[in-house]
Amino acid sequence: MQGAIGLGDTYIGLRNHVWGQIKFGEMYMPYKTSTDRLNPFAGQLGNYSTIMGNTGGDNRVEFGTRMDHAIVYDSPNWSGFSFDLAYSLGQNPDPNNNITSLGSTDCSGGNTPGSGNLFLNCDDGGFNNAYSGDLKFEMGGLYLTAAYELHQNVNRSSDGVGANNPIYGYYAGLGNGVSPLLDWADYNAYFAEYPGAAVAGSPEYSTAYDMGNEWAMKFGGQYHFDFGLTISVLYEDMHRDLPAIMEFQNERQRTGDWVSIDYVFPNGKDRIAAGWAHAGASVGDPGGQHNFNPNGIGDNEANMYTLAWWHKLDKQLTWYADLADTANDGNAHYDIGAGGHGIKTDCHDATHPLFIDYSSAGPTTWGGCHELGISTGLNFKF
Amino acid sequence: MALGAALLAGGAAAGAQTPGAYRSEEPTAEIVISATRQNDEVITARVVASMHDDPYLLSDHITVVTEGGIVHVRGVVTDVTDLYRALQLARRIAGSRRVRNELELITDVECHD
Repeated sequence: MQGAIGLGDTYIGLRNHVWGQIKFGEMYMPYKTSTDRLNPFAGQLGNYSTIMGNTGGDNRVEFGTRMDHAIVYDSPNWSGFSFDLAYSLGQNPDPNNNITSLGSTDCSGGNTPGSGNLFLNCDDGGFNNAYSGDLKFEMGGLYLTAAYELHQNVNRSSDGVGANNPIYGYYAGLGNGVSPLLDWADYNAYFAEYPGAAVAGSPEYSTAYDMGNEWAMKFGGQYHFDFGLTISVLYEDMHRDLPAIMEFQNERQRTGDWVSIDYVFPNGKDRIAAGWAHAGASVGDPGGQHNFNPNGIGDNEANMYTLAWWHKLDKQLTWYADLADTANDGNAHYDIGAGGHGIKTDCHDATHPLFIDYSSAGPTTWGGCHELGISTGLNFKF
Repeated sequence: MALGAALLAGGAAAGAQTPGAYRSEEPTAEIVISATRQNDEVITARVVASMHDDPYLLSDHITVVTEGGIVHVRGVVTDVTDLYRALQLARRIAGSRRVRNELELITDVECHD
C-alpha cells in the first residue's frame, strides 16, 4: 500500500449519534487511531511509527497497521469518555498462518509475502485473528487514552534463522552452493567468523517453537495550552509470548517511549515541533540474521530525534522542512522513515557484503547504523 | 448581551426617579432573550467573517454557533495550526465570553497512509 492512492480505509457501516457507529471493511485499528493525534510528524521523516508500535524496527508497524476483514465499533462521547473496539477475522487457512489470509494480497499485518527468509511465505509476522480497543477521555485541552491490541499465533519462523529449517536443509542438501534464497559462500564464511552466533544454536526447526501471540498496550496523554503549545507523551509495552527456549531470539518484546512538543505561533501561519522516540531493549535478538553484533543481546536500543517547521503560504498551501536522526545500538536497525509509510531506509545499503545477510541476495540490512535525513516540500489541502 | 444590559440599565435609571414605575419599565424576559439572541447572531457573524477573511485559516469545514453568549466552534480541521488559529480568532471577538472548542482534528496520518 505504500505510496498508493485510493487504498486508505475502506468500509461501510451505520452511524447514530446515540449509539455510535459500526464499520465493516479494511481500516486502521483503535490501537493506532487512539494516538494519531500525538504524532505531529505523520507521513514525514521522524514519524513516531518508526519506533512506536514497530516491534523489530522493520519497515512495517505491527501495532499500527491497517487490518483486513475488520469490524470496528466507535462509541459516542459521554461527558468526555469514549471507547472503540475492533475485531479482525484472520481467515487464514494455514494453521501456522504462513500464507496470506483469504481475500488478502498481503500477509496479516501488512507484510509482503517473502519478506522473511522463505520464498513467498508469511513467516515474518503472519497472524490469524486480531483484537484491538481503546478508551479515551477528552476535556478542554486535555486528552488521555489507553489502548490494547492482540495478534493471535504470529508466525516468526524467519526469526528462527532457519539453519535448521527444512527448506534450508533442502538447499544445503543440493550441495551446489547456489540458491535463489541463500548465498552459501557468505553463509559459510559467516559461520567461520562468528561460530557462536545465535544461528548456530537455534533449536531444531518447529513451527510450534516460533508461533506465539503478540500483544501491546500503551498509555498516552496530550495537553493543548491556549497560547499554542501542545505537549504529547506516550508509553508503550509490546510482548511476544514464546517458550523459554526461543526467548533468545525474541526481538519483538520491548518498551517504547515518545515525547513531542508542538508550538503554533500567534501569527497563525508558522508552527514548529520536536519529538523524541526511544526503543527499549528487547529480551532477545535473532543475532546473525542481519544485525549480529558481538556485544550480545540487549545491545539493541535506539533513539530517534525529529524537528520540523511548517509555514503556511495561504489557506491551503503549506511549506515544511523536516529533520530526523536515528541512532541505533549495534543490534538495532530502526529507520528514519515512517515505519513502512513513505520514505524508508531501514539501514539498507546497495552492497552485498560478507558476514551480514546470508538469507538474501539483495541490499542488506545493517545493525547499528546512524541515519540522518532531511526532507522539505509543499502540502496542498483540497 | 450588551443590548440586554443596556435595556436593564435604562430601567434601573428610571426606577431611581420614580420607584413606583420601576417594575413597569423593567424589560420583560422576552425582550432580554430576544436581545441576547440578536447579539449571539452578531457575534457568530463576526467570528465567521474573521475566519473567512484570515489569509491562512482554511475554515471551509468550520461552523460557529453562539448560544446564550457562549461561542461554539465546531467542525473539522486537518492542521493543528488551523485549530489554534480558529480558536484564537473566536476568542479575540468573543472577548470575555466563553469559547468552546468543539473542533475535530483529523491528522495527516489518517488522510494519507
